[in-house]
Amino acid sequence: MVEPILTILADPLAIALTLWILGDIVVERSGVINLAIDGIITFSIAVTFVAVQNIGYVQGLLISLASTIALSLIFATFINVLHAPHVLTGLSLNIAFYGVGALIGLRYMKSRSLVPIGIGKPILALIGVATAVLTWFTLYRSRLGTEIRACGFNPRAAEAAGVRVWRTRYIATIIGYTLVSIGSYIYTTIYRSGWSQYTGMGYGFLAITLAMASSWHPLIAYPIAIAFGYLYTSSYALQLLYGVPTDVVNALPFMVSLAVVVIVYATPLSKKVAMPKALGEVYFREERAA
Amino acid sequence: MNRTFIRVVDLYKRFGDVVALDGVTLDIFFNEILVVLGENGSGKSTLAKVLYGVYVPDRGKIIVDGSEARFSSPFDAKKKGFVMISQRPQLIDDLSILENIALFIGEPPSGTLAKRIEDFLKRFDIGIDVHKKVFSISYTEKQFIELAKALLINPRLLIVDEAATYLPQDLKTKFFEILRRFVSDNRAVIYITHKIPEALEIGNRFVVLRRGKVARVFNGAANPSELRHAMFGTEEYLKLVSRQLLQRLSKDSKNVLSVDKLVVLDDYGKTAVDGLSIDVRAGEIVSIVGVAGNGEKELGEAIAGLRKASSGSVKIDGFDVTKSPPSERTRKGLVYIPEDPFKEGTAVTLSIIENMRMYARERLSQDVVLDAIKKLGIVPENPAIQVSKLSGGNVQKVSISRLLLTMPKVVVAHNPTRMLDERSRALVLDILQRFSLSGGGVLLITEDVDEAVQISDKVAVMVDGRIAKLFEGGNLESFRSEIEKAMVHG
Repeated sequence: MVEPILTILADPLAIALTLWILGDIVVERSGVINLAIDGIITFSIAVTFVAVQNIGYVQGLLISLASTIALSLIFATFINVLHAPHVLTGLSLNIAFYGVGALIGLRYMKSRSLVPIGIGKPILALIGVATAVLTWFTLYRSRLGTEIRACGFNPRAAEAAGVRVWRTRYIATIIGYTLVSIGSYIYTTIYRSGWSQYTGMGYGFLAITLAMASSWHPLIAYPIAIAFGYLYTSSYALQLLYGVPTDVVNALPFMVSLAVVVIVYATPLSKKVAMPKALGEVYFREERAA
Repeated sequence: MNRTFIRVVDLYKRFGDVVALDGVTLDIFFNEILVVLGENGSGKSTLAKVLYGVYVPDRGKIIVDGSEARFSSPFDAKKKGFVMISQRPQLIDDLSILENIALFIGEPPSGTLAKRIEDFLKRFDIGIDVHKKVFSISYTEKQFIELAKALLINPRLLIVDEAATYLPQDLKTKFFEILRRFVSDNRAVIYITHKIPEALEIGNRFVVLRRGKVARVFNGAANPSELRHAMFGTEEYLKLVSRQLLQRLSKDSKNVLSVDKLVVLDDYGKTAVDGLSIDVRAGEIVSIVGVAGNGEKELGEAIAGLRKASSGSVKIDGFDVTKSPPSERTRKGLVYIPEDPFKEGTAVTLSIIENMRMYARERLSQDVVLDAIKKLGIVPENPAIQVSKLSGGNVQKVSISRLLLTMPKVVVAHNPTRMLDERSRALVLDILQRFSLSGGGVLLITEDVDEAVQISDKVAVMVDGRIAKLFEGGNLESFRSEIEKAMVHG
């Protein structure tokens, strides 16, 4: 009984997805629409792949972390310092980041694959659970998390309470993209262990969607990510074992996600976990408004 | 001898074309409650926000304890021990009371903090569950939470920006006591208000601002007349509201607004208006007074058609409009002035004249617009200025201007004078009185008992979504204390 559950919880794609979603939740809880995540994930997968191939596994992780956070800071600077519209910034940076990722990958790639890291299932499962719980604790029980959520609900009132909104949003971005980077590392070195141009493209938007489906709550996001990852990777098994038609199997992860959205929004749960109301609001402190 | 605590030197602040502070210099001493008075748009709130680091001044200095302090955000001001309580509660609705206070004092929202807050509130006989989300508590409770969180961090300077003006009387008395005790210990309070009696009750010294400059400083005693002259340059406006015991045509005139057994739900699905009935006849002013959060907002919105009535009916000028959209009701002769001029009363990113055209839904000549600006005393008088650049009171006046731009049969106004100074308030009440004299009906929903008894023919007290008591007759002033009692106890 334990073994199959562990296999589900330790599915490397599900773990990567969990980290991406959690990273997105932290950033969006601070009120920033995180559309650049898709480009950054694509980029960090490429960087991880070539860094691991050329230098080594540990160095690869560090390089991935540093470069991912550097890109996210460019994004955060547009939002916080230049007061650029969130959607426009995210979408246009995406295009640039896809390109930079492809360029680096194609230039430094030695072969199309690398040796995957062998890591025990309990450890992988633990990474998923622990990150979810820690993210929840940080957001809902710590001082920093309260500040982050306050910026996402009402930056003006947060500022009046003594929160430095731009600083808090920078911190949320760094925390979020640290998780995103680790997610990309797990995806590249454990799940996929190969790379071609634009590998990983689309997972960022999936993460944004699933984060939204969880109403930006880490503990709701976790089961969604696990269920999605399980159905996504074991679709062929379902097909073989139960003879489920391919079309249904392929649609299943998305249908389950939809079901979760319905459950979250149709029950009192949605009242309890309020969405970040100021999401996407271009916040400029000196504007005169009571 | 008075020791100087804070010295404000030559402060300038402008918002686009609007000069909010035009060279303000003043001293704040230890152990004093300094009242800052001024008409709408005189720069009171801007001064407060500069002192609290919300705005960075264009020019000028703030000297604290003899050395210059530069605030780039409220975070810096708080480090110096400065705290501001804003005009409207600056709480985050989706966080709990505990989380809001934790945010402010910079601690995690822990159980021990919850205990400390509850103990603190108990000293003021306020029992409230601090785990409640802020959206579920009443406006008055929010205001008190603001005061409580400010006092919890023991500031050196407390800036109160019209935050206590509409507290219920008993809480206000308590709050004033706290302030007096608070300043005795090498601290200071800057108390901003436009209410002269309130200023005289609490202040040690008085500074009057006018058009962004210090008009006069009163070191020690001041009298109302002197203050009025310093604020407005005149006292003439007082005659406007001295009730002229009007010969109204009301008695047998017909109803222009009838609300019958109206039931309305609030945003969270709770019953806010609970089978309320009230009639307003042509030429009559009817006031509904109540402590905020008793269903006043929902009532106003249901009459305007912005909120669905669960049951009951609304008739305007004899027509049943219960199921009609707001536009239809406006055509039947209704004008609704919503409570919040920023979110509901104006489109703040449009100019004054664009807002007025929106209300009138027709071409307006420049003359009509300028006339409305003059009648309401909107400052600055330039109709092309964006509403978001105006001060709070002036935004409210723009919201009220719709009254002057159309020919309504009935006006429903919710707290129309809340942010207005004494003179602007008199102008607005005069406009309402003239409107009723000319045969219009007015339903004034307000928490200001003064204005209700001054201009109304009837005063209804609203508690828990119902009319708890109705007062009518020649001299409503004499019912004042009874009205206040009914507001609190039903």
